[in-house]
Amino acid sequence: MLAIEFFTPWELSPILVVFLLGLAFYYWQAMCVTAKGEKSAKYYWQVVSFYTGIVSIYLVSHTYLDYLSQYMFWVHRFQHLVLHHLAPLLIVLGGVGIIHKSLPEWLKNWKGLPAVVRLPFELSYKLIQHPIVAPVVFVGLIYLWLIPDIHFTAMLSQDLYYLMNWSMLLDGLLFWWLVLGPDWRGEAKGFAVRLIMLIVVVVPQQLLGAYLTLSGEVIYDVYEVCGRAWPVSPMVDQIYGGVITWIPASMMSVLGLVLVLRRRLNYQKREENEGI
Amino acid sequence: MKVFKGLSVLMISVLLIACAESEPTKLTNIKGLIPDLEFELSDENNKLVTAKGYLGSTVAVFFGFTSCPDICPTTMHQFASILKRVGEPAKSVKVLFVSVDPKRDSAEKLKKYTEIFGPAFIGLRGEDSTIKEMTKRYRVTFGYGDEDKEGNYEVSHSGAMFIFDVRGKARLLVTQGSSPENIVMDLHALLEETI
Repeated sequence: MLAIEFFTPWELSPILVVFLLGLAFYYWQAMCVTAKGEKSAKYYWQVVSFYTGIVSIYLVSHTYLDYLSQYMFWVHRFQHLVLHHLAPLLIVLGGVGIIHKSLPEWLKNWKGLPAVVRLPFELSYKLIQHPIVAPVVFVGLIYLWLIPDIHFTAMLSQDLYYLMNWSMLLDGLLFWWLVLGPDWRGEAKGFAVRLIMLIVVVVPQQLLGAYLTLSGEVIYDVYEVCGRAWPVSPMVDQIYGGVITWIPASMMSVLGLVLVLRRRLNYQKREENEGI
Repeated sequence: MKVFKGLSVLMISVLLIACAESEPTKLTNIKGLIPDLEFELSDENNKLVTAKGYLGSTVAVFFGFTSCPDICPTTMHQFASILKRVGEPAKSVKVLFVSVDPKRDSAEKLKKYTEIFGPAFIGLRGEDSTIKEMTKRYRVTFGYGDEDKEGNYEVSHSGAMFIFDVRGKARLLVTQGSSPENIVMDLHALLEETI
């Protein structure tokens, strides 16, 4: 396959392109402001992490991989692994401590906005980012889009397909922002809540992955209906998809745990040093 | 962002409820989900045909290939017997067998193949890119396996049949799991315009 064939969008989505370019441009601006403020500091890994996240969203949503995701169950699972886990995690890691630097003035003075405008946003954000609601929504969305009837319709209707992928991406960004975002500096209370959230989301994902992998029958007939990208046994396709849902998805939570632990340790060290 | 998320969840529920309650069909109702019938291909007599030419007929579209060992002949035989069961009203039904293997499926080969199933069955073919465009429109695909020593290869393709009404609107989806009774019932209702 030629590179041009791979990179040609299967279905052109101007919204996605504008969204990703906007994010990339905004981050660049924020990085410039950050670098100006602290000239001695280096931010290489944050930049690499953020842009890898952006590029990986583009690759799974706007290239030949998007085509494969619509016609191969396991590629679809891989696409969601990137959209819901990997890319948001990378973006959050690269963005923490940097992206607020270039916020527009009206957003910096958020508290100064009239309550009528402010409250609906604040309340819905608080609700969706509640430590009980967020993990439920995170796992709930994975389950929702994998209910056979809903999965069938989402794969058959272009609009629902877009809604499915956008909901996964936005929820991924929200969840990883909650777990690794700047609101928590490493103090004990936030530490426990974050660890519990990461552990809580692992088990249902593993159960689902195990069910898909070990189920003796083909659960998603939409790939029979629409055809597969190349000849492969439906069971093999489903087993690969199940394994992707089962193992790498849970490993992402383990990675999240390591990152949370690391931050907690760094915070403790700093506290000790300051104490001395 | 959070508002969008909340709205998405709500919208999904609303959409799904709307889908489930629209019309009482036994088969999957694809009204509004799949675009209208549209194509420009050549038929088994090498004549250029378009979707407009089939307006006024209820049209069933299947994407297959004549060397198919199982799904295509089974589906075609099953549909031929269903048309017989529906009887007189089914005379206006056209079954378009669109080849996803135009390299091996010549017009003559298609003609011989569709003759087995009856006069309602018509073979269509086109350039690879035209077929790709058409399958993409209906959100189906096909792919080829590796060639063996004799030059034979496997083809993965859709096992579904899309049924369009006399105005070229997508209405019903017949899958490999659909029971003949349900197909007969819904086809009957569609022909009599009671659904």
